[in-house]
Amino acid sequence: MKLSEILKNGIFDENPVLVQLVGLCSVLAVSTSFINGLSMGLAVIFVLCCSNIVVSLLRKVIPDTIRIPAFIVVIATFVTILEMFLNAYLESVYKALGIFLPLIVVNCTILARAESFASKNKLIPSLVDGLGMGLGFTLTLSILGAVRELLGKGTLLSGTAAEINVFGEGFQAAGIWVAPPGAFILLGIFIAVFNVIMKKRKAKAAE
Amino acid sequence: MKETLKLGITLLVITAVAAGVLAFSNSITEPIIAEREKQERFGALYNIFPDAEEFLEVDEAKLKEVQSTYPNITEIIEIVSGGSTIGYAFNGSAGGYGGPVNVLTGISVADNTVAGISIGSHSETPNLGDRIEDPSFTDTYKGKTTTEKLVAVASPSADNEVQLISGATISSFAVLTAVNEANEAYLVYFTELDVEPPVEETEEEKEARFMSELFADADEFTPIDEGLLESIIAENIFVREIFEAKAGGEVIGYIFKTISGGYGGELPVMTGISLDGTITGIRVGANSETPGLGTKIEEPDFQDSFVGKATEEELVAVPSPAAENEVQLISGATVSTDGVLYGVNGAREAFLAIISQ
Repeated sequence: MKLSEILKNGIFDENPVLVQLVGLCSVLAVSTSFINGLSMGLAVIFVLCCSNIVVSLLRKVIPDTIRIPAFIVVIATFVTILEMFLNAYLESVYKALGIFLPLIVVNCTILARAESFASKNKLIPSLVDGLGMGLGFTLTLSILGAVRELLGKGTLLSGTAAEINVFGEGFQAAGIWVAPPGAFILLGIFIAVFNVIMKKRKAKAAE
Repeated sequence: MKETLKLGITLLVITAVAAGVLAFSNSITEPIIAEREKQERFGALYNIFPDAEEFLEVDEAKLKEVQSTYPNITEIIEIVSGGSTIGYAFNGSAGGYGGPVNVLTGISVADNTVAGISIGSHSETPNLGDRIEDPSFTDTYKGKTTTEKLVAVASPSADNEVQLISGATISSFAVLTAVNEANEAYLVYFTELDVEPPVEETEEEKEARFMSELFADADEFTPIDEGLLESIIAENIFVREIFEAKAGGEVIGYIFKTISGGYGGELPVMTGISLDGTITGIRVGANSETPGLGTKIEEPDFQDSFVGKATEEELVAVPSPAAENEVQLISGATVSTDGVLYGVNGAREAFLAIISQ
């Protein structure tokens, strides 16, 4: 597989959220605003790339029988490092992500990539795979966060200097969109729309 | 066997390397995190006392002494600037709507005023109770006196008035309670002012005080004949106890202890009725009405509106009472007002029953 295909595979064809439906716990909980979704996504990209690199390098050293505990140790190490540095240097992000930051350890996306890709491929493809999957995760989470924020709070980019109050001051936002049920409903709509688009594209490609 | 050992060693090496990496990143980040947490902890104090140079925790023995009277105070910090103490900060808490509200109260020693307050952790309702964090609320405490008890009002102006947030009464009162407690602890333990910690009145003492307030001339209060009481209780759901108020052996009136329902639960009311059928006054006992709203039934403005009213007719509550059977209706606390009214009307009926016998 070409590198560009690996990248595209992670973003579209096997998008971790919209196609594989993995790691939904943090997707639903953290995507309350664009900036939260983006921060979570970037955190996942970091952990995913690092763990893919290390797992790929160690793929011949780690015996098959203990690969899962070994992968988990690798992933947990990177998550803990990330947690420490965020706490020290980017406290607002650290606080916004809360418990979902350490929970990246059990995000299925990461273990799944280590297991199904990095442990079977060379360094560069593994890194690209981590990047692609991470970007797919981040894009979905950011867009979901932006839509939830717009519908649920009437703002865009809240929590940043560029915060915009889209509908003006008097707007009564529907709080359900920033609450967990709203996340489920919107995610369902997202998946449906995504499937329609992908089907059309496939039909076109087949022609 | 050899295979198992190999697996174990592989895993050991991986975890050992991981531990080493983590120890290294911890050594980089730990001091930064510790520094920031210290900043966070004292940041609130810097906002209250911008000139502060040093923060000293008051020694354990002193803290214990304060806590023996004010158990809600968890920490006392002495603020030092230019070698002298410029203030004290009290970390305390009081019960809010969603749980305890932590409040840091800074007091400046120069003029015994509140230098500022800062709201710590709490679980008040978002967008409602959590408005206690807004500077527009906390700033109303700045410069207020500590020597008088602070009161919360809608538009504070006087030296002892602070903001009451409409719609967040309980949260506002939690902050007020914590600040008042800090102020009192400060006056009692950290100034030369002659302030004694208040002595809690027991229920019996309170009752005795209420009785003598209702009949100032009486020298003796005795329960009425048990048979009579039972016959009245049988027909009156509110009355619990009845006392005769006597002056020089002569009965001059009756005191009725009733229990009716308020907004927050049982509402004990004591009603004094003199022999000629006029109400000498009422007193509301320990209740669970909403602080600052329902608890207005404990205030003289309300209780005094009953004084001198006749007992022939049923009493009604109106916004501006005038007639013989009208008493004060507290706007915003209708249920509490009605609760008291049930009790007093119950007492009134019991009085008529005694007179007719």
